[in-house]
Amino acid sequence: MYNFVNPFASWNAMNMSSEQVLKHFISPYAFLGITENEIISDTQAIILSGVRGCGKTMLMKQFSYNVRKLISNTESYYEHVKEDKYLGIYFRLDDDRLYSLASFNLKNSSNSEYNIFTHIFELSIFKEYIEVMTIFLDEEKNKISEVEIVKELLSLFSSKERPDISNIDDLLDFVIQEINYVFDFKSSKAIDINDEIKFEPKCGLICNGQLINGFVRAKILEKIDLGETRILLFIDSFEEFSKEQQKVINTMMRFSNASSVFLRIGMRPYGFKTLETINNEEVKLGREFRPIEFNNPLVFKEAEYLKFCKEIAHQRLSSTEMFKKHDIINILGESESLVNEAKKIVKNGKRHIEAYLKKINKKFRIELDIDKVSYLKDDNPLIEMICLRLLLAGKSKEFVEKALNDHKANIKSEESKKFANDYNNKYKLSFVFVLCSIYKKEKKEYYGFKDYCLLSSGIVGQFVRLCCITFNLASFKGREDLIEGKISSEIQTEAAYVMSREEMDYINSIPEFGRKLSIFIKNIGSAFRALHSEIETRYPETNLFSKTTLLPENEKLLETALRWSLIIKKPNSQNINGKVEDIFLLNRIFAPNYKISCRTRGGFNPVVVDDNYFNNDYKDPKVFKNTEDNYLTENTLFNLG
Amino acid sequence: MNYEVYSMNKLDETNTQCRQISCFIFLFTDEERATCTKSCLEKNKTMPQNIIILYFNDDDTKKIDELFCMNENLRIEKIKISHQLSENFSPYLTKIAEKVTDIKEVGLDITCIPIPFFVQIINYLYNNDKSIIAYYSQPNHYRLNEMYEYLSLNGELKINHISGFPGKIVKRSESERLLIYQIGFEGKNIFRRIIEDIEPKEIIPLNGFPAFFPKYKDISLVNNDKNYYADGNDISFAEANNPFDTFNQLLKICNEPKSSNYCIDIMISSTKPMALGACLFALKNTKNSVRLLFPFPAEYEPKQSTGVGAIWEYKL
Repeated sequence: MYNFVNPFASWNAMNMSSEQVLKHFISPYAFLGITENEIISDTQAIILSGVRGCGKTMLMKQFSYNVRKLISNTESYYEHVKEDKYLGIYFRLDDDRLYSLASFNLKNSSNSEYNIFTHIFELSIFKEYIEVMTIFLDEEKNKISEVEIVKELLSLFSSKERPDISNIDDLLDFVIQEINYVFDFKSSKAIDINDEIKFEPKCGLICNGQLINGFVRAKILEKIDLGETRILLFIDSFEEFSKEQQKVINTMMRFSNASSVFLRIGMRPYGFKTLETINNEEVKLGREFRPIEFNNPLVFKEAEYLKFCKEIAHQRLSSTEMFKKHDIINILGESESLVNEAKKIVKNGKRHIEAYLKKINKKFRIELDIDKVSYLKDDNPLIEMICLRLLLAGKSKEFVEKALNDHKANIKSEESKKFANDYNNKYKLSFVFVLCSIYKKEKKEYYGFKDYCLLSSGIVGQFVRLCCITFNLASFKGREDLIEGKISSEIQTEAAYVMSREEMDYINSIPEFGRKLSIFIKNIGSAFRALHSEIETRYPETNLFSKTTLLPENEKLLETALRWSLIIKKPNSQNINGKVEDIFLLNRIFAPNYKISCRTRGGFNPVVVDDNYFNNDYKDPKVFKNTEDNYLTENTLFNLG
Repeated sequence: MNYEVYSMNKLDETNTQCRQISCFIFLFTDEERATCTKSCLEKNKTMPQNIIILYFNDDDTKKIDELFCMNENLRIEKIKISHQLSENFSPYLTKIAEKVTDIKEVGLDITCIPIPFFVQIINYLYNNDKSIIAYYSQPNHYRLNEMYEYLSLNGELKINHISGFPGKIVKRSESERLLIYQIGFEGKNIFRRIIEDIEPKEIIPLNGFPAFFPKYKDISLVNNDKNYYADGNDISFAEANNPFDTFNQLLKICNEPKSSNYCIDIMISSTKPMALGACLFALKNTKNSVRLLFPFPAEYEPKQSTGVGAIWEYKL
């Protein structure tokens, strides 16, 4: 029976349950500049910054008590905490909630915006404390007195607002009710035309640290024999917080040493809107927080990243009945076969030879025809392309013929060395792009495990999503193969194009400057594509760029593009014309959309982004030069955009 | 739970038995269907003296004057509203509230009023004990490029709740959310934004079926670019022109045992009658504990339909 369950269906950690987090978590510490133990024990706040989909949420969630309690199969969670010596609480308010609270302005001047956010934040974390205490009470009925705990917890409210409650369930309900009251109030205000309804929570307006730090100060954990336990507060999506909301967290960060509640904050690059606290002081790197970057593993540890993706895939495949005996490399294939792809494109045609001859004849004012270059005819069109490129570069017929023959006969010579170097190390992939262009082939193929890892640009969420789309497509179009544990290169390619198109469409809807970012990415992508299509292959496989000094608004756009992982900054700068410049790469998931390489080659990067790249339909004259002389810009098969 | 029997009538040439109302609210645009209900009410001699006309552009005021031939017996209030759907609607609501203070039966033509705005108007009227009659004129067709492309929500999108419907934030344990997603033509980016911004634990797609036109049901699915079945989602259906069917489907979903563990969000991005159904559900059945979400766009393109189909009158 065909019982297909997509092993990659849940690709976003944000909406994973605790069980799924536990099941799918693979240790990422090989790429991080921090160990698990440091995350637990560091007394400073830690800022975990990384692009969308890099695994921050997954990492933070797996520290939370909701996940940790699932690990403690044999012992109680209470015992587990006693041993671990930490209690992790994960906190994230969705964008709508944050936005809603940010625009929550009360007329009473003392209740400014951050007071309301503080109120919700304190109550939300306090709710988590109560939930944890509920677990402990369930497990350790004989050791812990519910009445005592509830009394201690209630003591954190001011006496005027203290509810008359004696059991933990009722206390939890009270706190939930108070959290919901804020939103009920907002709801009522929407139709309160005469401004009659006042904000009057039963628990009073909670002040900074009253509940979160108050819990520690009251030594409640000490009273249940967990005195050595540290509270780790994982706050996710910090970049979505408003400036005023960030000030609340910064204030907490400033004083976290004194409170024993240690902050671990997840955010995208450039996520700080302010470093100020509510008292207008500044939190300082090194003193109040330690920044840890989720560096892109593909950029500096490609082999490790491939191993990581393999492990993730293995873990997911092995959790399904249908695929548990299969390996991702067997399913997708290890890597692409460029020779086969080239043969598929050419299908015994001669247009690539004609295209080169046209160029050679024009350049050297001669009249070579196909018969005169019959010596370079080969089954492998890429071999033919190398020969033709050598001729175009000015090498003699004799040189090319010898290079080819020596290469085929495995004879070592200067000529064969040059030939092998060009073929194996430089131009093989580039020529496939050129062939696609000459033969007006709509799709360059992207398939194989390695290509998939490369397309994901070191962003593990992208890899999982790409696999998800591929498996879904295969379940429709290649069911028989899929049952056998195979997905064809055509289906994999189609999936890559689907995801690439989706990501392009998505840019437009990004809440921060989506439309402007879309223009920028289109201009960059088009420039790379033009370079990929050049018959002379001046700059093979270019997908890196540097930048000049930009207008402040365009610098801001570039930062936003980095934050949304549309582009990725290489960790090391590069010396360009004696100047050290930052180097960026276009997220490779856009490669299919522009039919460009998903590999990154070093060397000279001709694309230098200036302010013009942020204008609609800009064509960089440095890239789109010699339009008349450029076969492929005249005959390009790909439509822009 | 109290159940009521709701009624909806098709208003056409042979049956224009419109209900009596004391105030009529509608939004004027160049769309053919913008004034169909007005014509029906006039034909039926049930057009009240109090009329509130919302409009987007200054140029429209002259057309509105021409439309009503400067009839001195009518008390017409023209209120200019913004194209920006995320703009605070309260000032406009205050103006509407002033005009309907002493009025019991209000007729609201939702045909051209953007969803977030009419939902807020209904919220106000409902909570101020007004008897509400809603009207909706179906289009003959929508403007679709290349068979299926539809864009009325352009540019940057921000998924936020509609003012007045923030829902409940937490329940016990992990605050998991069930999102009922009324799928429409604009799903391409909305689905991704739902996953990233709202992070629901479960999504139940609700598609309009029967649709205004047979292919529309499938265009909604195609434009959502998502194989719900492959991810184990069951799709629910509600009649595209029947808010009460949407109401019933939502009730059915929320009454299922598993739903009791969730906070409920409803994403409104389908037909206006379905949005009306969601609004009614949030108001009447959940003590406002449901969050109504809408994809607020950077730009709103209102004129997306051609011709006029059936005209409906709903007694809310």
